[in-house]
Amino acid sequence: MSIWRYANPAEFMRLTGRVLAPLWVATAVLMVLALGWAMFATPEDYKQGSTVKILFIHVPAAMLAINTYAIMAIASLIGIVRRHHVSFLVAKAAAPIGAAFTLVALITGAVWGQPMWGTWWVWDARLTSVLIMFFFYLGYIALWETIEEPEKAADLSGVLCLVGVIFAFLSRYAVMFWATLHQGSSLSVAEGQRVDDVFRTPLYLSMAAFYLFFIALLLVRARTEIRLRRARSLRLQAAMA
Amino acid sequence: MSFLADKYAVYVIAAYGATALILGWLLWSSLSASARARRELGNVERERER
Repeated sequence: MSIWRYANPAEFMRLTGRVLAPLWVATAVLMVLALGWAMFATPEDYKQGSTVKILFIHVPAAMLAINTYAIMAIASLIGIVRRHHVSFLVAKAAAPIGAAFTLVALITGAVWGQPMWGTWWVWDARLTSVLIMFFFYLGYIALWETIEEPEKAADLSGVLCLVGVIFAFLSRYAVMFWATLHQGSSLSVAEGQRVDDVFRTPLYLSMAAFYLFFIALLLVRARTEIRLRRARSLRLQAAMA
Repeated sequence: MSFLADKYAVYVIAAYGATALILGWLLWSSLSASARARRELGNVERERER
């Protein structure tokens, strides 16, 4: 059984229609549990005080900001190479979600940075590359909105997305290439455990909740795009008849 | 709610508040766009059947 059969809009709608309701329930339960734990059941850090609680939203949001861009790039590449419309529509549907998570990462990072670093913002390699990635998200969304012909919009925005991959890559790895104010990865398999269990468990839970939220939103938005594409196609058929 | 006594509590509340606003808006806009698209497709399909 090939995964490409899910590139068929009808098959995609049938499968996603079945999983959406349980996905929303799981997301709601996990989000309440994770953020409730993070806010009310974690202790204050000996250095960061209660600002450590900000990291339970900043870390998953930043991970999703980068990973959503990677998903968009893969979907755009598949769309360009294999001409699967659903791939383009999934990339289009993911863009506002990625932009929102990037904005959350930037804002929560600034709010954490002010008391901990003594500044809201520095032109540090990681922060700057995330900001540029945010502008790529906005440019990608704007390009889809400004081009009326969907095929052309899909191709051009797909190319723009692939150009911006370098900033998603830098957002992830800038801390390894340059000495930046932003610290390196705390959850590194290679470097062993660097976060105490009392923070690590709710952090993993929060990451799981954010990822489920992302998947549920992505499916809703992709289904919306498929419905709009179908409505447009039917209107065109009626006009030509 | 012990962290409310901490001197950084305002930063925590601001971060969580901003996140709730952004993600809440994203959820609302996604669901309302979905409802609009469903209605639009339904209308087009009904017109087509007539």
